[in-house]
Amino acid sequence: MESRNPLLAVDNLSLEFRTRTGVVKALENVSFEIEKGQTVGVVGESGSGKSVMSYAIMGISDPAARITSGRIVFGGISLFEKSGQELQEMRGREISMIFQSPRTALNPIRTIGSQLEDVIYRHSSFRGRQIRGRALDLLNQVHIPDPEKRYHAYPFELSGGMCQRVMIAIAISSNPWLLIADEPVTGLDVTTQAAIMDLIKDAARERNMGTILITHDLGLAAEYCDRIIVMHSGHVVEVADTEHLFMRPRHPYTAKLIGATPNASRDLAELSSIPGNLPDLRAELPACRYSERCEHLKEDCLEPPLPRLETEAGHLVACRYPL
Amino acid sequence: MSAHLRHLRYVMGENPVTLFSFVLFFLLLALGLFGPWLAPYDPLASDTANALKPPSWAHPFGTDNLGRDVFSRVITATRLDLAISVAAVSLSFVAGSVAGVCAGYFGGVTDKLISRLTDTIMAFPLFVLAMGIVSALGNTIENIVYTTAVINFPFYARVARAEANSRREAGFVEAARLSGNGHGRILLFHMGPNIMPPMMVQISLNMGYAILNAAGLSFIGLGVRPPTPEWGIMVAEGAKFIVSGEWWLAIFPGAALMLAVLCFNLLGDGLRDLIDPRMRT
Amino acid sequence: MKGDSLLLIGRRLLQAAPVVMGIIVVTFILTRALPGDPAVFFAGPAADEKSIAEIRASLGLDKSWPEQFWVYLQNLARGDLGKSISTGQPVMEEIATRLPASLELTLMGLLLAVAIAIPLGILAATRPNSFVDHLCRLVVTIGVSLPTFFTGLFLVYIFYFLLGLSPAPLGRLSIIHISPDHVTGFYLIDSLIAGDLEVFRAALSQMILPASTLAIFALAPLARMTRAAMLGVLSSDYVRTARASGLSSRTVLWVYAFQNAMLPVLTTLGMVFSFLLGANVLVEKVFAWPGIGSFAIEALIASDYAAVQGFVLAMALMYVLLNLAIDILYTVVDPRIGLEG
Repeated sequence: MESRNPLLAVDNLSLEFRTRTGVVKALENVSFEIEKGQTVGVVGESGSGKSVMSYAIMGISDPAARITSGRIVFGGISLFEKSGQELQEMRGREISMIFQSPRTALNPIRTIGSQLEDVIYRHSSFRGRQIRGRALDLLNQVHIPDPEKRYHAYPFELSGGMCQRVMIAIAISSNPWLLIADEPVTGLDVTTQAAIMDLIKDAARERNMGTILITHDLGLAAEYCDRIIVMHSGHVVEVADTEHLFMRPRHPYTAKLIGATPNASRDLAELSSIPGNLPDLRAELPACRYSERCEHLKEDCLEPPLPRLETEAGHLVACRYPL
Repeated sequence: MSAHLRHLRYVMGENPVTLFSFVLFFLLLALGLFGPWLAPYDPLASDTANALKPPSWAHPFGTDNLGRDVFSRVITATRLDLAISVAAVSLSFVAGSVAGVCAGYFGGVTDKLISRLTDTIMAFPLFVLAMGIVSALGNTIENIVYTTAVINFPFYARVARAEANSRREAGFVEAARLSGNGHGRILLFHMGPNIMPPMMVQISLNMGYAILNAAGLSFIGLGVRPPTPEWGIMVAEGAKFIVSGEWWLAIFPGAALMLAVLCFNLLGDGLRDLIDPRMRT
Repeated sequence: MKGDSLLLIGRRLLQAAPVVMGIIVVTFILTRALPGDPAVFFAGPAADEKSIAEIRASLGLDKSWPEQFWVYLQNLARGDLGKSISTGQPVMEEIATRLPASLELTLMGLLLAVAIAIPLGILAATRPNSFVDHLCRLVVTIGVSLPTFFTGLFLVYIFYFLLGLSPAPLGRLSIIHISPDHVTGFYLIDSLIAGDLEVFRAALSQMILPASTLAIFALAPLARMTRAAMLGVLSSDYVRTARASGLSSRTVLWVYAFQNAMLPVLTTLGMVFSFLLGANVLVEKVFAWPGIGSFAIEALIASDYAAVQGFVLAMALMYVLLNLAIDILYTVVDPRIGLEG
């Protein structure tokens, strides 16, 4: 923790959705930081708020979403103080994002070359034939074979892995400072997964780019991330350096998650699944949203406030009775 | 069942428009059933001394060029208009269901033939085809009914085919087949009830179109003949007087027609929400 | 790529063949389904056995059905749709002279509907639950429930009788004007070619009410589909990507969302055109428009069956042509289309 000037600081962020059936408290007091060049994993089950949080950082939340408290500070400037225009220009230039299911994440009736050109045109001073040159250069960088030919291909003509490479090319086209990768390899086959992850890692290293890797796959996070944020039901329950987290998980949920991940060194029979479901976020909830599923529940766990203990330097846990 | 009723009440409460359409529906039903007794005047009795009188207390919708009470004529016409469209829709419902279910269940040649037939009907602008069929069959009310049934047939056949097709391999059909039921029994007792909900939606969505279509045909002078009170023909007769300002002759029967169609369209949307909340737009 | 497109277009054309055949068979059946003996009907009340038999032979009715069908096909190929008994002219000629009037009106109505429905649908989709959204829903609900002939009469009452803004609903051009020289048959275009702005204005003022009537009718399904398609596309993954890439709102809306949303709208356009061809008949009657619709109504009342069947055939073929054009457009716009079929 030598630098006190993080690339991105999410500070006490709360966000809710207004729906016809009630207010969904999707994020509550979410805080964490990312340094330049650091790769941070955000793990948790689906519905834990990982994607909602990344959309909030990008400023592309659903119109029904409302941020009720907190700040997001990027490069020392609060994003909520920026105008819509400024945010738009920042997206894709300073912060980029890639998504799950790359084949549907690309415009089906536009060639990949044109889609890449759209973004280059938007964020660079390249014009005319330079744009095409830059686009081909990017396709080369993400190792797309025969980019001249692929340039005129439509997304449906490429494999999922190829489309994800195109997505990465689009995302890194302006050498952003931060890349958010939302389940980038889910649904791809294993060899492609490794290739895509290596591509993201190399791209990040070359540019000293901060990376947020959103995944439900703890193994993937362990392999590629410097730090890991564990989320559950809109709360950040634990933040720690990867090694620390795996050596000594302090939150019961993290421990369960690690237990639920198949590991070569452990017998599959020991694999424990996590009992219960995510709570209904429309209801009145106890301070600790994991309490309902927790095996170590004590009476005062339900009382606010939800604690945030620093058990050792850089290891934060939102539990009154850490393991 | 009570869950259905509760859901119904919920949909009604959520959606006053559906409630409105239900009220309108029962009003139409009442007029269709009791119209002749509710009408204050004889719809056919002319009174030339009182011709072309604008709406007044005695004649809420005014009188026409022969002095007939437009209000009474509009009310009396409800039965005929509804009868034509109900008859036509029933015919296309029955024929379409049978054809569609057979196509979806048996597949193969049956499916090819029936699909080719529906495609061919749909290849025509439907109202134009209706005109052609009426001209070939002859200009009578029954033929208006048959014609309207023919042009609506594809809608039912297509829905029934899709529903039956998706259930062909379903467990309950397989079970019925294995326990020795013939095709006829399976189609009638196992497929039939299961395709009913989407077919009901189709009926109420289609009813408005059937009414419009039948009224359109009588507007151009087919089927119903004067002096029979019928909305389409009343609008046609009243059209001559619009340019001289006697608007009530055409506007009231036209408005009745519009409300009837509106009622069924809203009912169809409501019913669709009720049966399949996912299809809401 | 280009060669593929041509191949696909060729395949579409081939796929249309059985549809056209179906249409011809149906119209053939309709011409033969006439109640009673057409020969007796044509011969008139004063005819004797001998003249009826002559007429039967001249009409080819003494031959077998397949033979008759063959003759029917040959006549069609020559553009011979028979003679209209009410006007004594070949049906083909009657339809050809009247078609431009109908086409001009229908296309104008469609154009108006598209010009209103698409912006309305887009605004409604981009501003859910706003005033525009509610307006759109209202227009959609009312629009599908309005009988065209009722709308037409209502507009005539308001704009001709009450406000006096429109000319009398009596055809394409009031009698004080002379129709422009025939080039396209569309008065609006021909008058411009002739450089006669006076006639152009007159033709336009006659056109506005009937075209609006058709437009109100066609508006509803188009607005409904535009709204639904836009809503779907705006929540799609690729629009999210475009937003996350910082593309300007304009690019996101027009290049990414709109172009994709127009694909289903294009399909709806075909269906709407089918409805319009029917509604056109009613509107022509209301506005005394001298198109093929009015011609068909007169023929229907006079039991002039060759004329009616010619009309049905012509309309159906026009509809097939339009659907073909839409399919081809689709093939050009949507690169995925080659995958299916």
